[in-house]
Amino acid sequence: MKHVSLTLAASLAITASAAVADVTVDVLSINRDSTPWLGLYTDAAASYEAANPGVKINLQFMEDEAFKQKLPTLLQSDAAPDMFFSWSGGVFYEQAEQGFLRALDDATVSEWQQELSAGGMAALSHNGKYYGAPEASQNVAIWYNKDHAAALGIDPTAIKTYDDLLGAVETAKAGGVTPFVVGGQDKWPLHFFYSLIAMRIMGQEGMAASAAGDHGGFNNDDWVRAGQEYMRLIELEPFQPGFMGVKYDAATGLWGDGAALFHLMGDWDLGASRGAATNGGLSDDQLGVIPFPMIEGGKGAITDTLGGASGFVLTKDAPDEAVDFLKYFMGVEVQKAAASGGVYIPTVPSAGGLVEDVILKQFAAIGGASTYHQLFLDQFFGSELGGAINDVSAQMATGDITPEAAAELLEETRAFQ
Amino acid sequence: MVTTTDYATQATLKPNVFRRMWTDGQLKMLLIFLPPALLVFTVFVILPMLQAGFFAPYKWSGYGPAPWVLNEDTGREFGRWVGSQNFERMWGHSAFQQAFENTLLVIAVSLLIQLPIALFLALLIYQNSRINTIFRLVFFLPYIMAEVATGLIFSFVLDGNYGLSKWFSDLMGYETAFFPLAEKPWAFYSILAVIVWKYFGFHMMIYIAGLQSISKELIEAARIDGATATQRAFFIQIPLLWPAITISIFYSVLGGLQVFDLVMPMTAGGPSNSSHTLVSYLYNFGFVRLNVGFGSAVGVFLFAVGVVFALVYRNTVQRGQ
Repeated sequence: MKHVSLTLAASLAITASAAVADVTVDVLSINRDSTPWLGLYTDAAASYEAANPGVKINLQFMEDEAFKQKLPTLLQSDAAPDMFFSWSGGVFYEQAEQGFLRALDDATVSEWQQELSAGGMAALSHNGKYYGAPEASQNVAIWYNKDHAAALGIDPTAIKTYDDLLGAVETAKAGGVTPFVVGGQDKWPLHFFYSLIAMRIMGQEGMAASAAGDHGGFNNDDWVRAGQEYMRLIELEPFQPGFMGVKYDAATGLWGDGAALFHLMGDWDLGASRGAATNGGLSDDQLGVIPFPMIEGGKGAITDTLGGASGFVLTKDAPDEAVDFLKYFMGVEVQKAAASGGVYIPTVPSAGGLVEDVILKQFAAIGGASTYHQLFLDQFFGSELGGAINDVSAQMATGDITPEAAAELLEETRAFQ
Repeated sequence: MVTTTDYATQATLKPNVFRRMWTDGQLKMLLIFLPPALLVFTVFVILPMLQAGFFAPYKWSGYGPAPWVLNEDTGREFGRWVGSQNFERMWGHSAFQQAFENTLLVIAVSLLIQLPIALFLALLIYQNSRINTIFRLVFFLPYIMAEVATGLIFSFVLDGNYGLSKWFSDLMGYETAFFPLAEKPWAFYSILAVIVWKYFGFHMMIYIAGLQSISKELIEAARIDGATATQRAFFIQIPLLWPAITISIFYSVLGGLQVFDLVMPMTAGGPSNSSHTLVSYLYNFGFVRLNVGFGSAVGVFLFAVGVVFALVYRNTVQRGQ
């Protein structure tokens, strides 16, 4: 009897909650079900639900690679979420072009542009339509280990040119310290080198021309020179032994254990390296950050940045409640909490000053001073061409392709795309 | 010479066969068990194979139900017809050529190293005894382990930063540790070694079953005639084991065409796409890069190779078995 009444009570409770929650907004995120992200997300969902009775926010998380693989099928099914995480770039353009996303109306766009980051909004737009709201700003820079730098007599803050950097690499090698750690098996950490060198050489216009197929697309002097400059670094054998067999997670663990002088990586590496290191990683006092140096004769600037422009976008059948929640979820209040909690570097301009973490602050400064922000090339150019850029970055690192052949291969892939 | 009576007998044969099958329950079993199996086989094997054939001439990201379907939101089709371009690009791609070469290498190593090891061990331990049972269990254990788990374990073992490789390098006093999975010349050989280690037990079991079915009297007679163990193996056991060996070769070749789960955790196809097999190549360049049309073209090629092999093999080596 007790069992029956319990069941009855439970079913009543379910019916009651269903009656209250008229609309459920399904949010699909990449793997952020650990602190401090999870806390930020659940707090945001809870406070929105409290302020908007009748709306239930359903947060779902998926591991990054699984997320990428499942999304195409998921978006075509009845189980499609109302909004999902996006790295922007070619995959996002494809989703937008194929009509899987809900575009924001003009009034909403102009309202959001006032409060949220206009640049971030632009990253989640395609062919003049806006599909979502930006979240974190990510930038790639050279991290350095202050202990090693001091022991080697190197002042990383004095590194302004690529030749200075190569000089520091040689000094480190001579001093018995690994210059760079890299997770070569994942390829994308290697593509940061190639991308930043290319950006410094050709600047924003050159990159736009490559994307458009002008001046030979990728098969031109600038890309060949980018490969040649990259090879100058590779020839110094700057990476840890066995770097091609190591994924990013393991590489950043080595970095956290103090295995190298430099690490070319994004701001997210702070938490990642501390999580993967054997003894909690390097402290704030041991870490420093410098922008990737300038290359002589290059058309870019040292203040040009490479990074992510992630956020959340709406799917085509998303209800209006989802649009409203997105505004709140990526809005000033939540981004301020993210900044002060050290969760991420916010894109909302008014929240940028609230970053307290001493390292994230340096990245926020680099992002704030950006003269041109380039999305990660492997995302910007879409899965196929982006994948090819990752491939040639790895192949050059193992000496399997020449800079000329790499440029040709990239152009051939671009033309087919 | 066929007589009229013979025709009459043949004409009544078919109903009789069905009646007999019905009475002894065979037909009922067939009606109960065949449709579900046929349905599952059609939905998960036949249909995807046909689909891959239709998708192969398209440039298609995988969004939308099919590349030729009109997308009402955009007014265009989901994919773009590229004809034979996917196949041409596949043939011209150095990573594909490497993957094909690697797949052939898997097959060669399976046939020339793995199967002889399995046969040798089977000959040693096929007789029933307690110690042989223990050996069989030990040799068969790697086969039971999940492929992905095996791949992960070996990626740790062969890691020069933490794994057994580091321990071994330290022991030998090498200045820098050995990273087999990070070195192009070694990465695929490491995978091959794991393949041999993992699957020889399976083939050994096939051979043991075959050896146990060979008449003991025959072996005994040869022994009395003065045949040595080697002579018995080469002149009696292996010839009588031939049907089992042909099955084992068949599994080896088809298994070699499908190697995937070990590659992904061990090297993910690297360094620089040097350790891809056909299937890991298909997965990486087809699905990960949202190029379903291209992936389908690779799938069609893989399927064609498998079918051609199976047909030729069944009609030559396995003919009459």
